[in-house]
Amino acid sequence: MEVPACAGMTVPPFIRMTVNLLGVLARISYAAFMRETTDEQLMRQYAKGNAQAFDQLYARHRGALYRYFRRQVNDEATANDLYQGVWEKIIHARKKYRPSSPFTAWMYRIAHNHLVDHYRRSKPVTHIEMDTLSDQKAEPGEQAINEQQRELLQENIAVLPAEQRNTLLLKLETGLKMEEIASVTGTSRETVKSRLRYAVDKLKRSLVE
Amino acid sequence: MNSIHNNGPDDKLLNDDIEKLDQAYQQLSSEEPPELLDQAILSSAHRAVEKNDHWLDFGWIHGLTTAVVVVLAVSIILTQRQPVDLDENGLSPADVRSLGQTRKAESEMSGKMREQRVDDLRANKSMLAEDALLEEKIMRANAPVEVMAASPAVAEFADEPVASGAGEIEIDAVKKDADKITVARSSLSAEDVQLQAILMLKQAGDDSWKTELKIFIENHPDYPIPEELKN
Repeated sequence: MEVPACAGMTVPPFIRMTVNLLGVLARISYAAFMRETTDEQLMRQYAKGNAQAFDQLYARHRGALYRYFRRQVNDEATANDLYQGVWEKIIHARKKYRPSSPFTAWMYRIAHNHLVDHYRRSKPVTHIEMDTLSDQKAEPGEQAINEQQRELLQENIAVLPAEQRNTLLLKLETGLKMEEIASVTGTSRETVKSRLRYAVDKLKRSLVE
Repeated sequence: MNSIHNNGPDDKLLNDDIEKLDQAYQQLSSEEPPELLDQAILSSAHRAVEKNDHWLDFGWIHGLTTAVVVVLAVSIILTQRQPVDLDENGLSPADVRSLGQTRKAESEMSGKMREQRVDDLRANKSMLAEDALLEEKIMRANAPVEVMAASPAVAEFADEPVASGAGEIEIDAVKKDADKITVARSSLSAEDVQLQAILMLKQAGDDSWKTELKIFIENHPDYPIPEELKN
């Protein structure tokens, strides 16, 4: 928000500085407002045509959603396709979104259905090549035992049955309640609980061993 | 990251395990989507909204069009379903209008018929005059035959029809005329005949024509009276 310089007209430095300061303050307050805005409000704003609202929403959820796919399918390209496909669906369905349901649950319901469609199109992944799971490079300086544990955890998550892995990742990545996970996956709360219990027990056993 | 939602001791145990697992999970390498993928998704989102903006520019037209269509449809339905106000005779305005048109047409028709009847009467009058003339001719035509029959000299010819001559030709012509008049008379109505009789009474100087006319008017109040009988 720079003060425009008109030909043949000199703007006093004081006014120029004041206007620039006001611009900076406006940007800071807008950013603060966007930070405080809930996902549901941002999605509504985006549906009304505010592209910046989508930017904010995307920044909030990009990592978790990406990891959700990345750890469901062992192929990075497939994970990228699935991830992009879900966002495309969200963009197209922006006017169908109703703020009565939490945005996160709505988004992961789309993601879950997208993943199920992917499984239906391709062969269901029941066994994952363990070698490919070791491609992740550890951060330098980390302790060897931590690195081993992380790799082990990641490998064990990857070999979980698809439903258990899906439920566990929804829980770990999004923090959704069991009822919300049940709504996302189209199952009952008891089913979610059961899947989580099985997944957690398997991981605990594998980590102890 | 995860909040605990207890619905029983079993849930609490599970949530404790999940919390521990979550702590380990958060230490996993946090993969992020590639930057190119981010840019592609964000530009797609912006494009969708930009297209949407153009669409919104015409959104009010759609609203207005819908409102106009609805108003028109409702007004048509209400007009069709509007209850008909009946007058004291139980007739709707539409019935009254059509009745008025019918009456007007009837009055025009009766006026024409009246004129037609007056014309018919005039024609009848002239026909009656011809009739009288014809009767006179017949009388005249028959007279020589009677005279001839009465004369002993030509008595033998009286039983035979006249074979030739002006008298026979004249009788044929008169008979043809009489047939025409009979046909014309058969087309007249009884009222016309009555009026003709009254007219003849008047012409004959019989005062009873007034009484007859009065009776006729009482019986047929709407029937047109010829000008000759009105005086």
